[in-house]
Amino acid sequence: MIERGSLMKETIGVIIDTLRGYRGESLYLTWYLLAVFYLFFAEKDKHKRLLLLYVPLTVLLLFVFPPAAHFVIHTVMDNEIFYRQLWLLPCAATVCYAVCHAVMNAKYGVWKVLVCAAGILVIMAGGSNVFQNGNYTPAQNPQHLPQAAINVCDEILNDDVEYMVVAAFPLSLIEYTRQYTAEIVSPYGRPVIIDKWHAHHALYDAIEAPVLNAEELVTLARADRTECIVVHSIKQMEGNMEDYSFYHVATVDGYDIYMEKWLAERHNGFSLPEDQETE
Amino acid sequence: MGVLPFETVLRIVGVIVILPLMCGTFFATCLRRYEGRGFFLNAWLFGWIVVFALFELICTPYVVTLQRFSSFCRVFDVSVIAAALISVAAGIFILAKRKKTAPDGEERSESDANRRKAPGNGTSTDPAGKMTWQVWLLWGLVIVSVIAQMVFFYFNNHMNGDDSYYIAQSVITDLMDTMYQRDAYTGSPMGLDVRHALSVLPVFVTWVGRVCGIHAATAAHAILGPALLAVCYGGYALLGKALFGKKRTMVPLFVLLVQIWYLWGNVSIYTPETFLYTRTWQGKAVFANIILPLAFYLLHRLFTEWKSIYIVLLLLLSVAGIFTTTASVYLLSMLYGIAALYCLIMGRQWKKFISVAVCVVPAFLYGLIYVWLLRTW
Repeated sequence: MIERGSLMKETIGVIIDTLRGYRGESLYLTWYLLAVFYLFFAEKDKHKRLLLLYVPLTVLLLFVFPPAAHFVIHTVMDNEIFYRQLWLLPCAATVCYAVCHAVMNAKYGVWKVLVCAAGILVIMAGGSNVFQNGNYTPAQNPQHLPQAAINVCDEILNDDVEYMVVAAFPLSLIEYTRQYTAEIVSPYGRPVIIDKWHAHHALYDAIEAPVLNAEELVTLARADRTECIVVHSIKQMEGNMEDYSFYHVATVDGYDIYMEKWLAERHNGFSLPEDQETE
Repeated sequence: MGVLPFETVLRIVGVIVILPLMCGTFFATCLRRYEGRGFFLNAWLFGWIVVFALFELICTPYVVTLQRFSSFCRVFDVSVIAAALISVAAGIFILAKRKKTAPDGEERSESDANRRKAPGNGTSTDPAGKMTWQVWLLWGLVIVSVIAQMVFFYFNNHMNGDDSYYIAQSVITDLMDTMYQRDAYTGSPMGLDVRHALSVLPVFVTWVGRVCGIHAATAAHAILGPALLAVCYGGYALLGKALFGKKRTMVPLFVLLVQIWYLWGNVSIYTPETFLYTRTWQGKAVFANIILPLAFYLLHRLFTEWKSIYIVLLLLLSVAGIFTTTASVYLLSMLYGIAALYCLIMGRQWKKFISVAVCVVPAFLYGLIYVWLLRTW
């Protein structure tokens, strides 16, 4: 009985958290519910009532009904994507239809314009503009990827071998290099930067350390069969990578690229320091 | 960001404009009887759904049986071209047949009567349906706004973390010729990625890239992103047309309001509005912003007048839903299921109940395949 009670509490917690997370700091769901309330009294067409009111409200009831929510969370989808059930609420269509309905019901032209303007202002005031989130930047290339990621990958692949290089990247490149090329594989990927996935990786931690340690980097890289290490060039390094047969082949857009000796030897435009001395 | 070569532009226009238009011609011709105006919009929108559904139906067996992407492409290329040609031929045949019986035949009068009843057709005697300059101005605003957003999307980018799975999967498919057999994050070989295997939109991105001769990331971010944004608002235009019936003058205002709602809908990272503007090319965004509005539109049309064409389109939409995301198996089934139950509760409309319930079948079958895959892998 106690277990059932705690399960219920846990599910209600998930429902509330999901609803809060979904609406954010906005009046998004409030406007939707107000539109539903308005249409409940104003809309007479039974087909529209069915589509915009009865079906979505049933979805919403199932969403907030703890036993149904518990079933969905534990058998169909998990906590993380439970919010997708709320997509079945046609918020955009309902709110905008309600505003149009109010405009149609307004008697005079001036009132129609005022109702419409009020509707637009309410939508704007209650929401958050997508272009103001600061995430849009002018595309640097047709792939819409950071140019630095493309340049680093091109430099790594600038050799005369048909070979899938295993390369380790810092945080700022992890998400982009494999969107550009599948010819470079990696000992770790995006999961290491998502805290809740708990996918720690020692080599990643070493690359992201404030001060790099050559011996640690090479030891961890070899343990993961990684032949190429990319690090921020502004970071200080303790020790010398060349002492461990990892050679600095290039610096590209603020990133230093180090490679195992055999790979560095095949890299275009690179010659080993000992060869340079002989010449 | 440079301008694409002319040949590439032609190929892109072929894939995102001409191919869907051709594939949807048959359905648009059938719908013309009941829908009235908007032939090209119907053809283009449902053409996308036909392409999605066809891709899903052909690609899934190849993915599940671990076949090569190139062998799938050979079959799909032929199939999609055949589907487009058959669709156009069938459309022309239907139109010719209607014209033949037109002068004084019964069919003409029936079809005319239907068209007059159609939701998008206000008559000149109906003041609410009269197209005034204000209405045309609103339509102009809608179109200009959509085009401006498409251009903005082409020249600007929005980084989304999930791309490191989806786009990487497309890039792997292109280079390695395998589908869902490598870990997208690291590139290491793995068994079948069952969680994503049934939703083959990343493979579609690769296909678009190959056909257009561009990188998969370009295909997703610069081409499909803007195109799918237009498809989304096209879907809302159809939904508006259905909701306002003869008061068609309200449709542009409705679409404009929807655009404003969407533009100011970035209230959290979970809303369909945020998905549309930050990851348009991903399956989840396509599902929430294209599949669902079209599902609401088709359900409304089916409720108002029971026609087999709407059932066929709902079935196709069900398959197209799975093409975008596996969660569609549950979500679309839930939507269709609740709608079907209301058909029974409100007036015991058995015919409508069975029609809508039948549309759950593809989702149910894919659900079974999913469970089988989970147990096998």
